[in-house]
Amino acid sequence: MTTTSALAAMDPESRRRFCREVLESLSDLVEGEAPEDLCRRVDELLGDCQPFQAFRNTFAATVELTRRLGHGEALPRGFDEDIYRRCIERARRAVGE
Amino acid sequence: MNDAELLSAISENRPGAFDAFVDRYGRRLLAFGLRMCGQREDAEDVFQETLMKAYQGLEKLRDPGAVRTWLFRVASSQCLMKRRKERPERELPLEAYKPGGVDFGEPAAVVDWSDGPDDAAEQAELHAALEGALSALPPELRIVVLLRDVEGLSTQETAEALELGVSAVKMRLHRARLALREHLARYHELAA
Repeated sequence: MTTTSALAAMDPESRRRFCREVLESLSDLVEGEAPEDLCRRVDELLGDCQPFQAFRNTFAATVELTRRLGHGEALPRGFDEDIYRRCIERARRAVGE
Repeated sequence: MNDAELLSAISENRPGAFDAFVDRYGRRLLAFGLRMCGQREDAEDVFQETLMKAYQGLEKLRDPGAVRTWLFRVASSQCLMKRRKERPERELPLEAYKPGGVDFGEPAAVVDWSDGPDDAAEQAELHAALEGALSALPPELRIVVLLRDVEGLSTQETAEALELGVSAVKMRLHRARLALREHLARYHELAA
């Protein structure tokens, strides 16, 4: 494991507080919406911190995988075209179409 | 046909207009209902109810940019009503999903599995693990991550669909994503 010397130089309480702030801002960080000051401090203090980089990469990968669930247009598992069409017909009949 | 043309065709009662609308949104609405409700029958009910409301209400909608948000607001409301009726007894409170303490300076290994598998079978397993992680989230978090990340609504649109504040949406989305990451990290540990 690699910890940056800048991070290691912080007292444990300040370090935990900073790490907590980073964790709470991770969505903003991976989406480029975090404040500039925080981005700069993350680069300085965690730029070569392996645990943080791995955490951020896997967090970003999770978001990307979740987004990909929405890319398909196939019917969900357990449904076929007949069930799908029946649902549509029932809705039509219910409103008198 | 874009949403504006679709909406105008529906309001003019043009033949085939509603079929085109169902073609565009039907499968997504059904998948959303299934992910939210977990049961096939409930997903069918939500889908039908949403379509019925669309038949009755879409022609009155004036803003074409609001079609998707309107639809998912209706579907979300149907899903949450079902959940309230059939709420499971054992469900962790939202507070349990608050990010815990973390210290990246502590000697705890964090494995980087972000590259993902190349093999199709492994990709399918990972996909199933993610679906499992989604279904394990409390509905208040799941609905936000489904609308925001899976359906691609903006934070503002998600807030409008769920009648929540933007900051509540952002907080819930972040907690949901952290919980999903933890679930996938455990999946990768077991698979290693």
